[in-house]
Amino acid sequence: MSDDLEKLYQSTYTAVVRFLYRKVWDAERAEDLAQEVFVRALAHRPEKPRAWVFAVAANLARDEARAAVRRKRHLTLLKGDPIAQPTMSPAADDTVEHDEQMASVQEALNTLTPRDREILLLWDAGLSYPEIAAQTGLAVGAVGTTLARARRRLVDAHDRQQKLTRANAAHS
Amino acid sequence: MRHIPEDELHAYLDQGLSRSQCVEIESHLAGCSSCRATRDGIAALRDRTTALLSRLAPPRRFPPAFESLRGLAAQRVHTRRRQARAAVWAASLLAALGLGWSASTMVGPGRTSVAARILPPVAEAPAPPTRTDSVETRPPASTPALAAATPTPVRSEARREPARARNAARVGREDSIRAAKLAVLDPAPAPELAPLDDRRPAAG
Repeated sequence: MSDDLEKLYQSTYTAVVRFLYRKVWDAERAEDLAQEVFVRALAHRPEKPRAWVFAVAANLARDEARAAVRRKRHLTLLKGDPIAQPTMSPAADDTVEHDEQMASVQEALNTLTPRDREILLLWDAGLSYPEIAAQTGLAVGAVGTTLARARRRLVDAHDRQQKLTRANAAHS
Repeated sequence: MRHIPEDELHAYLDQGLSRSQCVEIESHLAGCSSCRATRDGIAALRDRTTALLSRLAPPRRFPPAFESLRGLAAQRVHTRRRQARAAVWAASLLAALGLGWSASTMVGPGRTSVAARILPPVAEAPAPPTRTDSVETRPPASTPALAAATPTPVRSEARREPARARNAARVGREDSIRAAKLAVLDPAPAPELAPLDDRRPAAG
């Protein structure tokens, strides 16, 4: 079992970090969370470790996002500013420098609904349709439909932003 | 002719269909140029999505050694077991305290314990030899001066009478208790009835 987990760790650690990074937008935090996921997997010894690892990663990322919103709200209260609405934009204290293209893709991804985004990221992390269905509660047949919609929306949103950027550059 | 829906083509390209479904789609694609064009468009969309998402990757770093994670996990399991053990101890202590408290409320100062109601009364322990006896058996003082200085115990018959009465009462009580215990432990056989013939008045 431990050897299986070690193989899984070698094969999916990068994918788990990437999956988490696209949710918390902080490379170091994503790595910390990924290590936490595998430590928990070693302690719990799940039967289906691959699906389990991504499910726990998604839960940890959700908790992290909630904590970030709480921190942000607390800071806003301390400053005396009006409470900022929680958004899916990158954390303010993100230390990673994004280039322009990366930021535009990130914005395009944020235009998707949480479910579409989740399924797209799980698919990109290498999960199969049944694994995605088990994690999200969708029927296996509905995964293809959701993925088709999410891909189309992501590409459309990115194309719109690129067009807007080009128009702004032409004006200035 | 029914064309293949887009979501099925997505699932086909993602290898999310069963073998029989794949065979069915492939046989249709072989004879339908429209669906082939749709499939190519979906394949391009799929590749584009992958390319866009690949830009959202964190800087590549070496993952930590698996052994360090294993050590962390072992430490965590150990801590969890220790906490569970402490919780069990605390729960046992609380249960014991609760039992003791409930027992003390059941047997309050104004109540008789269940055991006292059920069990026969225990005989009182014999009273320790009174100091008066030892005083009385003390040998007389060897010297007259010391004898004069030592106060002679004065025991009047009036003071001894209640003690004797108490002793007699105690002995009587102990006898009755002993008899009761014997009756409980070894009940006397029921008196046998004499045969009817014997009770009949003798003829003649």
